[in-house]
Amino acid sequence: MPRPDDTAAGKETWVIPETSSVHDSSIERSFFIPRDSLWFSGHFPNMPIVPAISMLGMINDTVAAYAAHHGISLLLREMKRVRFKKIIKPDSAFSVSLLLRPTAGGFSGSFQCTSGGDMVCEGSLAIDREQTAGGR
Amino acid sequence: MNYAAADFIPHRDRMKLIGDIIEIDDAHCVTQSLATTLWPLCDGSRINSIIVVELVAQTASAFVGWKKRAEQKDAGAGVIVGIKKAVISVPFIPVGTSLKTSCRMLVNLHDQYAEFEGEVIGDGTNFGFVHLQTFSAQALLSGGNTAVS
Repeated sequence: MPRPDDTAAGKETWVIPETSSVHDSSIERSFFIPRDSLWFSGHFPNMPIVPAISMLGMINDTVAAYAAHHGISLLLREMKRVRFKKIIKPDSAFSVSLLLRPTAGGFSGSFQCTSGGDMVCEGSLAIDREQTAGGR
Repeated sequence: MNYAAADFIPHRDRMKLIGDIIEIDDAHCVTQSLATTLWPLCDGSRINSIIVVELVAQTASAFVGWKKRAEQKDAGAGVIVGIKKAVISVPFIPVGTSLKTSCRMLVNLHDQYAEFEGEVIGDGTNFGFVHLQTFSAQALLSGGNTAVS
């Protein structure tokens, strides 16, 4: 599913954020990982696959999008029981579904990630709420 | 004696984050890195500390590569299949920070499944702790199911 128009400007690209759907206690966010993504710069020569750290980056980006929507600042503090279930190749879509529950200092939650209709990653996380002057 | 990590890991270019192996034996490995703006998850002046997961993974990969070469075995690539726990102690690593990543192997089943724990320290700050699970890429690809790097 190549999308040359998205990356043809010569701009360095890691992933392309696409849609977000934000609710009170959840968010779904979609990405596209193009063939010329920097994630494939050396990962690996002759065998380009999406690194696990790339998936964690998109999960973190989803947390940031949830925070921005609600006018708060959040920092990922802990991940547990994360399972990576499938290799993802270049020119793939990646979607994160994140469910959050408020805690004393922020949120706890769980995530599920899919690509091409397949479950590729799931786990739980803890997020701290950062106190900012403009936060609510 | 230091070794170049590139001699023992498959990562290259922008995705090779560790430089030299500065300590290694059959139980543990320590590597060093310099955080730069070329790294993933960098906003121009700092790197999101979830990168500690990749630093520990690459150090574990260096450990396995070195160990298998010492044992005169093929060093097939391993992939991360799970994170039992990762704790991010400080949210960002400033660009320019010199980092030391240490890891030790906790479990090794038939050179296919392994568990490692490690941490990343720089300028007196512990940026995070990671407990990883890895599997042989060759076994995964031939089995045709779970995986990821």
